Amino acid sequence: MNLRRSKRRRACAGRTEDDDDAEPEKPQKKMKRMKVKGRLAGLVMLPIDVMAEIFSHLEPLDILYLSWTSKDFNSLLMSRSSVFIWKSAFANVPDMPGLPPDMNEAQYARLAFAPLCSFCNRPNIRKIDWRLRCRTCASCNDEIRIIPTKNAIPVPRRTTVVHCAGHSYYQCLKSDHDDFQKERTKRLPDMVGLVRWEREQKERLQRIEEHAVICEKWSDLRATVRATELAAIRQQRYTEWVRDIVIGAKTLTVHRRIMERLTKMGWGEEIADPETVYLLREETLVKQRKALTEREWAKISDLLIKRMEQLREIRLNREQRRKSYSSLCYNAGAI
Amino acid sequence: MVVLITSDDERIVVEDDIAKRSGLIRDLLAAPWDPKDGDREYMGIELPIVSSDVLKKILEYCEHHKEEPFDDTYESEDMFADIDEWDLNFITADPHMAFEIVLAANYLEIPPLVSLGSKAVANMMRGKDAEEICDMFNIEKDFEP
Repeated sequence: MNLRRSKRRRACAGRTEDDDDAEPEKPQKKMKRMKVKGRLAGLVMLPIDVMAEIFSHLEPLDILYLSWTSKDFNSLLMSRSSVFIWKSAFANVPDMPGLPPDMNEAQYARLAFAPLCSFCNRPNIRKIDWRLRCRTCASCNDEIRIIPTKNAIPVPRRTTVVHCAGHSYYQCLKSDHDDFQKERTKRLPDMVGLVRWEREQKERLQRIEEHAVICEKWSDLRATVRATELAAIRQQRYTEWVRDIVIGAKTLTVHRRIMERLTKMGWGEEIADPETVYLLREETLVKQRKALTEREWAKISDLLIKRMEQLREIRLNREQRRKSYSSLCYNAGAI
Repeated sequence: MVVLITSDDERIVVEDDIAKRSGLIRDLLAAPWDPKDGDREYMGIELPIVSSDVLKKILEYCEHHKEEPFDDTYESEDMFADIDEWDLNFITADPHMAFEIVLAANYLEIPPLVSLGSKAVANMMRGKDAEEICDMFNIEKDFEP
């Protein structure tokens, strides 16, 4: 036991000595690794104008996701002094409806751009309810409460009327409804105040409705633009694909025609040689895409014949080498 | 000639023209120098937050642009729309270095390079969700929305 411990101690001591020896190198290495690790962490420390410069090229969703990366970023981007970053990001979105006064930039960015359920963060929820100001996945539908219109009170964020079995209903968020009820009971003793408050709520509702109409138009338009873009990309890909096939076929026919002509001119032996064929295929002269007219042929034939002569030279050399090599082998075998 | 000393203690010798693309170095060279403090060239200029690989990259940029007039404005036009091809290749060659280039260029006061690098960094962040950004920049993700 003792022995082992002392051994270890010695090993440790040895290591520290080594450390001392390698001192000029070690701290450098450490520094480098640290820098790689916290690369963007430095972004928080960046002068505000440079940060603004970087963020001015981003859209609200990028900023939102950035604010979800770390606590540092979150506190930085959620502070009032960062509002200008959000503003420039929103300005990068064409025709973006203005920020409603009762939401902050991050909430608005999330609602308009992040395809997540507002309650459970489930991804891929495209549909936005601009009146309820939320996106709901199938399992969070319970968060929305339906109340009959006849005992309706102006609950904030109430959506369109739903008609069902001869009765009409309002939809609202459960939490909003509960908050509203609580607030209302609290105000019940003061009738005048209550009436005023309810009118304020109605007006607020009206503003939400107006904003929702604009936003709906905007997001419909955005979806259409996106769909057209996608269709255009698809069309483009298809055209490219067809073109590639056509070009491929054309190049092939031209190639074949050139080969036919060369054979006629007595280069048949060369063209039969696989290595020559390989070299010839990469030849730009042969890689023509244009149709092979007499004029085109007249243009390339001289150069091509020169090249064919070179290729014949190469082939003859190669065969010569092979012959001498095989005779060498033969002789070696004989010895 | 100017001698620049990087954070990893490398001494890099640069022509005046190239070094003076940096506002910081321009100012330092313009400042009066007392010969009692030693030979100016020998003492060099210490750049404690710039590493040698980043500095070399930046000098490459300065050398390419040494003929141009100084531009002290941050222009923020449309992403990669009218970036010179050389600049585009320069900044996209190593996207991970882009951020360090921005930091260093900001410290050295080279505004056109800051704006070029900013575009590259922004382009790296674009269309990425929080996890992808963390992966890309090695940030420890410690926040849940």
